[in-house]
Parts: sequence; C-alpha cells; structure tokens
Amino acid sequence: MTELLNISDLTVHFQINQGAIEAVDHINLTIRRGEVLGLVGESGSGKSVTSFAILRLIRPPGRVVSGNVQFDGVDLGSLTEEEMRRIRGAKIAMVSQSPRTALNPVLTVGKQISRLLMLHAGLSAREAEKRMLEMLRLVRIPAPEKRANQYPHQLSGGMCQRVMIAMALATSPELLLADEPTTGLDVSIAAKILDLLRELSARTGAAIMLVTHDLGVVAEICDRVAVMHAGQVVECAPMRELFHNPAHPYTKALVRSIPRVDRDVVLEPIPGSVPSLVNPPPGCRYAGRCEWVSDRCRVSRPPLVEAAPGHVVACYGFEEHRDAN
Amino acid sequence: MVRAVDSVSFDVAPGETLGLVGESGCGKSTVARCLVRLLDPTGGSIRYAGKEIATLDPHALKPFRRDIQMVFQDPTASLNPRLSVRSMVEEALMLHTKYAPKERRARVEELMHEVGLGRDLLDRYPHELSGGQRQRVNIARAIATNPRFVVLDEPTSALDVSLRSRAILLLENLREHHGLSYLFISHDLATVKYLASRVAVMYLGSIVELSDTRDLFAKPLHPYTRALLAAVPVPDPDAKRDDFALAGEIPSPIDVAPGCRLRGRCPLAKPVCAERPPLKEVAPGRFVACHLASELDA
Repeated sequence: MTELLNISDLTVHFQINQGAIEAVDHINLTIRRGEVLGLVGESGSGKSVTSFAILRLIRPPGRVVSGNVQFDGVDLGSLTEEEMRRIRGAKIAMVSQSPRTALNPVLTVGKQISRLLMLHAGLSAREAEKRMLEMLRLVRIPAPEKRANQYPHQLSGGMCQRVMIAMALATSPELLLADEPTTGLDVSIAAKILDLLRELSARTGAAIMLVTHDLGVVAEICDRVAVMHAGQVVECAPMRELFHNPAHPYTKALVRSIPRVDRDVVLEPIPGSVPSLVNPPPGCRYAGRCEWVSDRCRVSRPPLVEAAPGHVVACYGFEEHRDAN
Repeated sequence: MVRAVDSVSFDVAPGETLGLVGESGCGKSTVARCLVRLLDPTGGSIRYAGKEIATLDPHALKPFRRDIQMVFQDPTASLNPRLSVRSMVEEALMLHTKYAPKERRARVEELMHEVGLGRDLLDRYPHELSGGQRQRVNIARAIATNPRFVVLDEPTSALDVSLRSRAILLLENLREHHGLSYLFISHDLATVKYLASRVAVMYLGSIVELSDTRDLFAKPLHPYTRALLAAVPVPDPDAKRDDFALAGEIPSPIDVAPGCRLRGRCPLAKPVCAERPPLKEVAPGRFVACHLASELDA
C-alpha cells in the first residue's frame, strides 16, 4: 500500500494566559491508501487536535508550531485557503462525534447532502438530488425519499450519524477522518455504523483515520493503530501486533483498565492522570504515571524505535520489560 | 399512548447490585425515576423494606428519600453551578439529618475522603472540576445520608476510559464498605458484567430476561440479549464472535403491536410469537420472556 497522508513533526500549541498548551507534540504518522488507522488514547491526548490540524482547521488561540502534512504528495500547508477549501469535504471528509450538532438544524438532511454535491462535485440540482438519494440508500437509511425531507431533530442519533457518513462519502473522498463516530450510540447501532464504515471503505478504497478511546472498536475494524498520550504518539503497530505484543507501558495499562464482556478481569485503572500540557517537563510525558520509570525518562524524551517490523514504540524501558504484562 | 414501562417486576436484595440494561428508549431510566418517585407510576407497586412507597404522599415519603438515593448520568447537569462543592454535599445533610453545623462539616470532609476527593476542592464550583471529579461529588451527595439503596443511572457513561475504571472501583468499594444495594442502569454491558451480580435486560418497556450475571454472559437465552451481547465490540482481534443480529431497528414505543415485542426483528420468530410470551422461570433464578427459550437452551 502506498502512502496517502504523511504527517511529519507536527506540533500544535494553544496559547492561554499561563503559557502554551502543547496539545500535539512533534508527531509523525502515516496513513496508507485504503487502510483503517486507529488513533487511540484518553481525552486530552491530542487525537482530535491532530484531525483538525490535518484539515487546517486549527484556529487561534491554537497554532501549528511546526511540521507539515503531505496529502497525496501535496504539502497541505502550501495551499491557499481557497485550494484547501476544495480539499476539505471533497478529498478529505470528516465524521464527527456528535452528528446532531454537526448537521444544520434548519435544513432538511436531503438539502444538506445535495448542497454539498452541488458545491464540491458541480452537479446540477436535479443530479444532486438523485445522487443524494443514492447516498442515503448506500448508508441504509430506510425510506430515503421520506427521510430526505426531514430535519435532523426528527432523526435518531444513529440515523444522524448515517447522514453524516453519507455526506462525508458523497464526494468519494480518499480519506475519511472519523472522530469517535460511535460514541454515544447504542451498541447495536454502533455495530451497524462500524460495519458500514468498513464496508464503504472497502468498496470505495477510502482510507479512514478512526479516532476512538474504545479498544473494542479498534479490534473490530482497524488495520493499524497509533496510541497517543499527552500529545505524543507513544506506540504504533499493526492492529493484531498491538493486541498481542503491546510494548509501551501506557498501551498495556490501557488494555488492563477496561472492563470486558468476553472475559473476567481485575480492573486496574491507569495510575495518575494525563499530565498538564502547559509547559510540560522535558522527558517522557508518561514518566509520572509509569511503573518502569528511570532517571533517564525524566530528562530526555524517548524516540520512537522499532520493536518489531512495522511496530514502533517510544520507551526507554520496553526492551527490559518485553516479557512483562 | 406510550407505555414507557409495561409490567416490570424485579427485586433487589440487601447488599446486591442488580444491573438493568437495554438500549435508548427501552424504559430503564423511567424505571429509575419511578423508584425514587421522581415519576409516579401509572400502576403497580414499589416496596422498600416491605413498605409500599409507590403511592406515599411527599411528606410520608421523606424518610424514604434519605434511604433511597440516586446518581444521574450527566455529572454536570446534576450539580448546581452556583453552589460550591461544600454546600452541595452539605445540603443533603441539612435536609435529612439533625447534625450540628460542626458535625456536618466533619461529615462533609469524611465524605470527600470516601469518594477520593481532596479537601482543597471543597470551596470549588462545578465548572472548576473535571468530569470525573463532578461525578464523585454526585456520589458523595448520594451517600451523604447513609442510604441503603442507590439507583445509579449510567453513572460512568460520561467518563473517559481511565476515569471510568476508577469510578467503577469506587462504587464497588462503597457498596462493600456500607452494605449498599445498587440498581445499576447502563447500556455499557462490560461495566454491568463487572459490577452486577444479577442482570435484567429491558426491551421496549419490558424485561425480556433476568438472570445471574455469569449465566447471562455465558449463555444469553433471549434473542434480544443474544443480539445485544453479539454487538459489543471486544478488544481482542482473535475473539470468536457470535454473528447473531436482529433485523431493523427498535420500533416506536407508541402503540406497540400485540405479541412478542421482538417479533418482526427476530430471526427465530415462529407463529406462536403472535402471543405475548410471559417472563417465565426456565431454570432456578433465570427468567426469560420467550416462547422458544426451552429450545434455545439446547
């Protein structure tokens, strides 16, 4: 698979009175064509900021301090605002966590999709409407002719999320940024949304970056996973490899901290909390929570090194604790 | 007419956690609101320690309000933004106890310690707290009056992964320490499995299965329970998955059709399902509302 998106050395700060919140700190990530990349971590780990940065939607007090994002060989930072606008929604689309607030409450859902098609695909009103109905059918909205004339408040959360996905896919994007697309939905609806995303990505060849804190969702549909903690990517591996051989202590702690339906577990919450990202100390940002911490971790930041083919980890102690669970 | 909750019966033993699961609109929160009398049930009876409370007037209900408490899903909306943590926790004590101001203050500090909040947070306001801290304040309020029974309506849903596991352990700890009984309402089946000793599954206003937690998760008998469990994503890429699924989506609760509520969605439905199946005991302590339960057990 070839590279579709390449994020290198991306750093995003938010300026507040007390200093700069270092929300995303020198991250490198690659998304290949057609793959589903999971981006996991707790709230405040920088997952959503990363997706906004890809779309160049960081607004003051936020600021991209360093790094660049290459999409399909083009440096997105070098584009004019007008050129970027043509990429957003057309080549890179986004599905957000709260579909109801992301949809326009005073437009019928059919109109919202048609408008997008007229704007980005240059279709006539009539063609756009036809294609809009096709899209609603594609995401399996029952009675699409009727639903198209309804407003977001008349649809359930799962329906709204399907409309969002229909909108996101209407222009056949090459990359879909899905930010917690199933959070807040009932389990059976969430399962259907995941099936739909997987199927649509296989059919259209679109790559998906799936932001989630749910490791179950990761195991369900991701090909590769990047784990973020406090604005940094601490581990990145093929999905199976990550579950079978997690190397970073944070990844291991994350797995142990969740109750599960498939087995009996002893819950172990992750120690401490995500550190303050305002002027964080040098060194590993997980050091204050880590059971393996050594003096070195507190003074210098561990680089991402290869733990296995295609599996990178940022930890000084992982070799020594390779067999520990 | 919406029958939000229709002929639901269950009991909770002292010291027990009963899990109540089901999807949005199934009536679980309505059940919770009836139990704490935030809603008056249209019919039926609610007995607490042998006494009927479904029909008590507000005055007669007051001593029960001390014994039966509730923690709501949204930790922010359930706190008063204009009161400090101290005044909110103290409020419950002023209403329900005869403590002198000094004793009250001591009790508030003790409660803060119990839920794992530092004393330094006492003079903060809700907006100065994180989501996890807010939910702890709600829990402190709920246990302030030494209740016997606490209704927990999705208390962990709004919390992030790491905070969720801590909240789960806190609730478990408090239950053991104080001999509390919980009705734990959630759509998060993994958390229910961890906390509850028995589980009731609701669909469209009725309980379709009620069972010991272990048995329910090992072998769900009702087709709805089975589909619900099959839909939970499991953090294990090698897990063997049941691909059992229901057709369509939850129908409107307005004027539910006669017969089994799952009819029309259930792949196993037979002609007999045109009659509404009663909740029957199919094994000791195991209740299922399905005509086909005996066949499913095989």
